Amino acid sequence: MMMWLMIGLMALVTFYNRYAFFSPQLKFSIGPRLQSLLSYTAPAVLTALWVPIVFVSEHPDMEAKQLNWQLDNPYFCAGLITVAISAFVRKPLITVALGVLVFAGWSRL
Amino acid sequence: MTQASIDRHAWRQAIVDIAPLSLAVIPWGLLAGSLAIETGLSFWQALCMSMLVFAGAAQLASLNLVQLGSPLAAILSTTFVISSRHLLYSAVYRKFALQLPWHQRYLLAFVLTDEMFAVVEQYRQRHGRFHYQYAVVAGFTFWLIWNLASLAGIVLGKILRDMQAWGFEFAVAAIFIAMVVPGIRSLPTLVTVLVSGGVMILAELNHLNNAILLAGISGMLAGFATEQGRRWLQRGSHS
Repeated sequence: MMMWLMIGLMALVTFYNRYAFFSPQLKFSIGPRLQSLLSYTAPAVLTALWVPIVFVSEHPDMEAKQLNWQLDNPYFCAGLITVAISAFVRKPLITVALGVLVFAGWSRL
Repeated sequence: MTQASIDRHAWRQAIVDIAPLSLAVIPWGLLAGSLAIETGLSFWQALCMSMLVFAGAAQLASLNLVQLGSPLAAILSTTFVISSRHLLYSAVYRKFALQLPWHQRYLLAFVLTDEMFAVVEQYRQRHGRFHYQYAVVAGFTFWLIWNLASLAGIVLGKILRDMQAWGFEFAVAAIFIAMVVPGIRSLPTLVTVLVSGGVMILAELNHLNNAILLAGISGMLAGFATEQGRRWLQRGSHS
């Protein structure tokens, strides 16, 4: 019973975060300055999602996290190469395919 | 083109665009499903969690907290913090959502994930408009794959947990890189990406648990400030 309550409340919390600004009851309008601020949402948040995978690793022994910048780290190296590929190729599917290949190759080294 | 053929095209395009992101989420679904069973949830509880909560990181964190015997309030506040970045997506689509009837607003919100937001933003860049059906089809395609993967995790139990060896975690990074980097066409966007990435690294190294929201808002403010500063300088040089 407790578990169902937890699942139900968690579902409400995640739905609330997604719906909050869709509500017509919320009386505020997004002006040109806020609109311009919000136009940076995609590059800002999506970067925050990929950067830790490439630059931060969990230390295997400890709880601590550390910065990745060693050349033998496939996440770091393949990550930088994928950024370069993406800047030149600009096609998402080709970038992802090549990036994953580089990662696989680097992991085998 | 007639309206019907445009809509059919948008449906197909949505499924094609969300497909790589749906593939990359499969290991996370397997993990969420198997961890739920391991934590002691029943089959239906585990499945309903993936179907209704529909937030990978929040589900994995909350299941860990359940295993540690944490109180409900701690679980709910963690869920709120981890999924709070969706508030930003919700603000971005507010002006489109307000034009929709209530049931369409609810549907759009229900499937508003990182992945759906990413492909819809790409679509908006290419076509210069928000397409409701495109967004909802992409969102529910992703929802379906997420739940099939969760179901497989629930049924198979402790299958391969070593995701690093699969390279799937890197695929997630590669997909977001491929969506962010080609969009860097101006100085403010470059500043946004650099500041968001830098703050994220610092926040992660210091174990802040609302790192994504903090980094995201820092990047947005930095990009906005750069844009305003540049406008101010240009105005200064003309007068």
